[in-house]
Amino acid sequence: MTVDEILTLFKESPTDTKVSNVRKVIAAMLRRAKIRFNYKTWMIFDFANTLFMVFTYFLLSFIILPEDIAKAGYGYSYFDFALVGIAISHFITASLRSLALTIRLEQFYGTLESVLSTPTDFVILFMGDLLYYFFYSLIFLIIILPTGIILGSKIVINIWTVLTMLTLITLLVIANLPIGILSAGMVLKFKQGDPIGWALTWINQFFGGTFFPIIILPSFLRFMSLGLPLTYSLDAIRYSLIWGVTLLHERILYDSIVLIIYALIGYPIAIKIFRYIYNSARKEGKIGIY
Amino acid sequence: MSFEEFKETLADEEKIHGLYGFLRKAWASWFYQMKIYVSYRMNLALDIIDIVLSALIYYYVGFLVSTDDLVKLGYTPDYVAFALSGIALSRYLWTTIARLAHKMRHEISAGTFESLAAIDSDNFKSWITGQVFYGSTWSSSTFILTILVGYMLGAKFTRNPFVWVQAIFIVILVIAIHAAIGVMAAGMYIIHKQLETLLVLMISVMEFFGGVIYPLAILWNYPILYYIALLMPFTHGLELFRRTIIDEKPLTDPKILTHLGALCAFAPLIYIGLRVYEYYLMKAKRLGLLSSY
Repeated sequence: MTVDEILTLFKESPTDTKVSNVRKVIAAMLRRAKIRFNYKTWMIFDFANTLFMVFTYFLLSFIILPEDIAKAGYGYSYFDFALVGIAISHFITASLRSLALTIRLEQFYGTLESVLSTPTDFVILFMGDLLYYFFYSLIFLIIILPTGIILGSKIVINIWTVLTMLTLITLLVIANLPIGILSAGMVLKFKQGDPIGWALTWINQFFGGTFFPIIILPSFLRFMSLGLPLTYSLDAIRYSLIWGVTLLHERILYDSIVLIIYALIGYPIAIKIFRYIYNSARKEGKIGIY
Repeated sequence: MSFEEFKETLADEEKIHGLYGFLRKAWASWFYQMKIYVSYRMNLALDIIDIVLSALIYYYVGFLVSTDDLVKLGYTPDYVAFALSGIALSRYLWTTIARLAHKMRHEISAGTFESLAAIDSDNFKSWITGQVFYGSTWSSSTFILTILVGYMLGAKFTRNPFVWVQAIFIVILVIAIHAAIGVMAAGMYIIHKQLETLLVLMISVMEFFGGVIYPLAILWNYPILYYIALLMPFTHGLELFRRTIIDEKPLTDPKILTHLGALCAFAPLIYIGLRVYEYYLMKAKRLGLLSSY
């Protein structure tokens, strides 16, 4: 029996299950949440870490000159600028690293092959994980923004800016996910977890302008920044929260359209590459090797 | 050293006794870890990218910083040197402290810690020594690379080799005191799992109060925070390091002496760390908890 024949046999749907995909996604999300909520201390420390980061940038803002921030169109407060970057950094991590992290964990504990052999599509499990990370990041956002306001941030929070922010965050996750899919492919291919994730995080933090406006970069680096969806996501969310404008503002509308284009182009490419790596690993029997 | 030699060395208590045997085992422990690390070449490349990009972030943040304010707060106007010296030292500490506990978690969760215990003959002392040295090799490379990137970005670190000798002495002192916390944490990890996250929090606290990316004097606006900062060994270590490699202050300078005295007050931690580690290891052996996680 050839490898292809074996794979064809496995592809046959064993049962006609009546559980809908939506329920499966929710179940996968709850599974991840249950595992994570078992580690309460870990979660508390995770939140505490982020709060220390907010305090650090609050103190740093005392010695920052606002001219370049103003030139980039983000008002006169560096703290506002950094606060938004920190508040949405977990969403960035979720979209860039969650799939890679899931694969790496299952690989490491030797459960990846078992997970893949269930009738449930891996995409569904991943959607569940992603949804969990989305809500988890949302909790951070809910904690960080009020903390910033208590520390003196002047960001505008009202029903319209909150709705705009949530829409833009959804777009951020959707537009950045293709990079996350590629990163997961690299984990399958190179059997490396953390370094790829960290490198992606640093690359995005640097070129996306999490801690400084990209206008201070030299033109060749700025050109690279403009090639990343994160740049547009951050710009739109910051602009909306700092000036209190909504999706109807032309700058935010422009950023949103760019993000949609990224998603439309990114998904077919990322999925094709991931599927190629995934199928190669399956044929070579290297799925579970790490 | 071949794999067979390494295995033989780790189990050679009956053949070679004393200091030589201990050093051979420590060397083997260092060697196998290095072999694992070097075999992941992509990992190595990505680590370098991490270091360069994190340095570049603060290089560009430096464009936004008011140099007048930095001078008013008692530093030179060079923010890149200020931030990169802080990042280099904090990363050094981070990797030194967390590495051992991380390694312990890895061996326990991968189920290999009991195998190591089976060939252990000196309460893991040589193994730990080798691992600490491996950690130092890795952390030192990261530290040196960060400083080199700083030089390339124009940070005005001293170029005087004698001043660097003083700086290296300070770094060793800071690392020794903080490594003791790492050894203590690694011991506690054997029984109290999930301790690694506590270490991450501890490092965040240290970095925040130590003033890695902002001048400590800003904390004067919040006196209670300033006094808490003074209770941390890292705060004194970082001030000593910065004043040495940026301001070229000698050890005899009154400010340097004050920080040095404060740092030395934490020296008993080295002894306490080793004792705590031994206590937890023996307890875990008695309770049979070496491989549970």
